[in-house]
Amino acid sequence: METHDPFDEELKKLVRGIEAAVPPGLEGKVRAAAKAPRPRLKPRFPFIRRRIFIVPLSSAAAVLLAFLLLVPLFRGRQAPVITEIQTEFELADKNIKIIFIQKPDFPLLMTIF
Amino acid sequence: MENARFAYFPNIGKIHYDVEVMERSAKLNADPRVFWDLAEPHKQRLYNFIQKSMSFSTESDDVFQETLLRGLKYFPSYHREKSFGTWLFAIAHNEIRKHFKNSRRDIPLPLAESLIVGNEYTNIHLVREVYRLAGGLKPKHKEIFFLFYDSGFSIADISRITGVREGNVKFILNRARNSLRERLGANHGNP
Repeated sequence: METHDPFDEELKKLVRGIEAAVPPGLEGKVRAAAKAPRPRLKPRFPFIRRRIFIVPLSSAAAVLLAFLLLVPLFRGRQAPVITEIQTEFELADKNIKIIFIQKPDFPLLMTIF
Repeated sequence: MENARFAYFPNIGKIHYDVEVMERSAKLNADPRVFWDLAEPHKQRLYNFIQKSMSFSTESDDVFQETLLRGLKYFPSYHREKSFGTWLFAIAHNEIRKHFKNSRRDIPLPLAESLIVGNEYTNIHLVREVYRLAGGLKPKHKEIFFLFYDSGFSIADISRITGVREGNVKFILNRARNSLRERLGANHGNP
């Protein structure tokens, strides 16, 4: 090593104290495999790998379906929207009836009979 | 003739020469026999590196085979001016990394007595202790450790093979060295 530590030399000896020989049959096996043509996989889904394609898409579809089905169930019945507020006053002795009609855009309509 | 312009390309000859060299090199690289001839002196070292980096796993033979096959496949793209050993070990590094990425479960084999090649002065206990420490390292650190102490690569070459910066390689080696020094303690150096 660049540091020239004497301990490194000792470690190298210890590490190299174990040596695995290449098995005699292995090289022949590699050479034979190199000569043999490698089987080409059929492109089932061009551009997209099958395992990437099927598993996430199907799970995403299942989640989406569950969401679409369950949300209306949990939403419940919505309260009706108030469209009009009507207030009536009646002055019986003067034979007058006052009706205030309040619309959402807040123009106050007053009708007097 | 007044408007005539002359262009001077001083390196045109060199460019032609480079293209010729590259073409010749590509033709030569296409020959698998050249690959086997170049791989011959590195085979033993490569096999040991893979075995040791994978803790003598049962799958290390497959990784060795895949490394050579991949080397043969990409041999036409190998540049002659670079070291063949570094190039081949970089392929081995990628194959080992791929192996660890694909299979979480690794089956390390116990250190066989038959693999110990040291002479009568080699302290088997120390050898075992070194390998026990190396076994506890992260896969990448283990590779760096064996590239340096077993395969004998320089720090610059290890950086090229693994893609780890030289400073980090030094740091990893230093940490491993210090742990070993601590663990071997006073025993180291005594056969």
